[in-house]
Amino acid sequence: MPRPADTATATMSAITMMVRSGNGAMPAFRPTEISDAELAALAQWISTSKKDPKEHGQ
Amino acid sequence: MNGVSRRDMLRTGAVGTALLASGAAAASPLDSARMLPPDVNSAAFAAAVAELRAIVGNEWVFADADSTLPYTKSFIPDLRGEHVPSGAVAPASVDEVRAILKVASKYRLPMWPISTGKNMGYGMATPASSGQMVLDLKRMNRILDFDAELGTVLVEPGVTYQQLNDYIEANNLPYWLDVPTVGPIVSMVGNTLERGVGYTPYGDHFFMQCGMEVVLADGTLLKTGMGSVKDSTTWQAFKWGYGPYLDGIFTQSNFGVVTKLGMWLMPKPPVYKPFVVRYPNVEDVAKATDTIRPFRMNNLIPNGVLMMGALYQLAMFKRQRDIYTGTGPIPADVLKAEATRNGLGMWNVYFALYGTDEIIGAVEPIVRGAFEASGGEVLTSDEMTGNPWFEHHRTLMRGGMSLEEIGLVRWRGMGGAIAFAPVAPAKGAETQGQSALATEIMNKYGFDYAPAYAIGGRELHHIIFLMFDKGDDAEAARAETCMNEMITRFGERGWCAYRSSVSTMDLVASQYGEANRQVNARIKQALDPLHIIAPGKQGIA
Repeated sequence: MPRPADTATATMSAITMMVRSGNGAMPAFRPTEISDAELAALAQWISTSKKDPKEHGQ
Repeated sequence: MNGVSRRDMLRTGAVGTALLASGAAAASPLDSARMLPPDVNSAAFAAAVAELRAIVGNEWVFADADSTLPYTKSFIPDLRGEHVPSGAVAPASVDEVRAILKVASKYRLPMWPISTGKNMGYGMATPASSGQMVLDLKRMNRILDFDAELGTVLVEPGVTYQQLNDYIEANNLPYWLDVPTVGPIVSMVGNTLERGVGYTPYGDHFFMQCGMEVVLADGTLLKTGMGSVKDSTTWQAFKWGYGPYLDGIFTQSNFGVVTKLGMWLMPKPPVYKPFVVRYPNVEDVAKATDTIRPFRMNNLIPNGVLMMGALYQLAMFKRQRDIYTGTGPIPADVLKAEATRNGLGMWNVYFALYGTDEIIGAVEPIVRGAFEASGGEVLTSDEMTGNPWFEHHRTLMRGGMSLEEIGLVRWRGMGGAIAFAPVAPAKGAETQGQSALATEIMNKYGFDYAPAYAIGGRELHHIIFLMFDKGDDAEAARAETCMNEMITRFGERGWCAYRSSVSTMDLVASQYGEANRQVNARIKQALDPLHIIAPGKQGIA
């Protein structure tokens, strides 16, 4: 079983990867649009925020 | 819920692995995400990169696989790795742009300028040919001037519509923007230079442009129109200047790098009233067009009208498999039933009236009567509030911020889309002919026909989104073949695109004839003899 801290790190790195490469219908975003530091803070926020029960995306 | 959950993918970290495996096959490879230009060897490239780093700083030159990755993403097919950049460089000032072009000239390293690189259906930031280095102007993101009396702005390429929107709100200025779809992440300069369109009375973006600053390949700094006059106060007020009008040759072009652009903004009207007219049948496209045209010509309807096909509308918020699980395109009866379920017609015409209650009160009965006589059902916010499509277009027709139309790209599988945008005169028979031809070709290849007609004054842009699964190479190949056949067969009828993806620029340029191409080539030769700026852009080598 992975420890929660490891899972959080993996999630943050997956978010960073998704933003920089653009996954599927998502455009890629570059350091000129969102800096590495901003992206790290965003990934931290997303990975620790509660799920929105109204979210309907797939 | 069916399919893949975004949250699950994030949790497992599966995304990165899948993406890293999809490198392009390269003729002159550096690594999976990058390719060198054919005439530049890796030693020369390394020397050029070192000089570029000296200009903009280490962190703003992207010359390895990881850092170049965000520039390679596009939604269009690229099966042979023909649109893979060698890297990217991001200047912060006009002086840095000039210095970069000097280095590019020295090493014959072609530069592909982008503003924000969000050219959704047309290739995003990717260059017309592999090996070009992306010249990313996003860091130049200042609103240089906002004249609150004239309603004019002067902006740099990195300014997004969202940034300008925030500025207007923060300063409580009485003006509206006119946005392309997905405006929040798009550059006002980039969209205007591509001659994009929007949905308010200021919908023809290039028409509302006034003055630009251009860096030429040799470092010359040109300010067009009144901008060339010493101490001029008229740069953003008068478009034409003196002598030949030059702004046009720097749009959809590779004759220079535009570093500043002036735009006119619409005064915010006291009252705004959006409408939708529903038509029940596919064949109604002709009647709808013939009803809209006179009102666009006499300006009783002042805005960029959208006539949206049911399939385009549904694809904004749904996936194909939500509606149909069979193979091939969605059958007509299934589509119609789904449209009806969602409060949509087979065609949905969105227009708006702007002004005062008295003005709108006088105009509404005239246009309402004409649409009803043509078989349309005229609806307003009284009936349609809460309908996601009506809300979307209500936002667009007042220049509001929305990213919803990106939803189109995920219609099938992992997503993918390429746009075909032929123009035609705004006549019913023309729309009927174009819709019939597009349906025939797209269905033959197994794709759905997703149409939107944007009606300007006397013309219409027919925006066709070919939605496919880029994660499936066989399907991407079919999409490519289908697109080529559409461009070719529309061309045989005299219908050509106003704009095209980086993968079809040569084909479309060839349809505009040899004289047109030669004149462009001669201007290119005069202004950029080393062909440093965006070779292949709009078919201009």
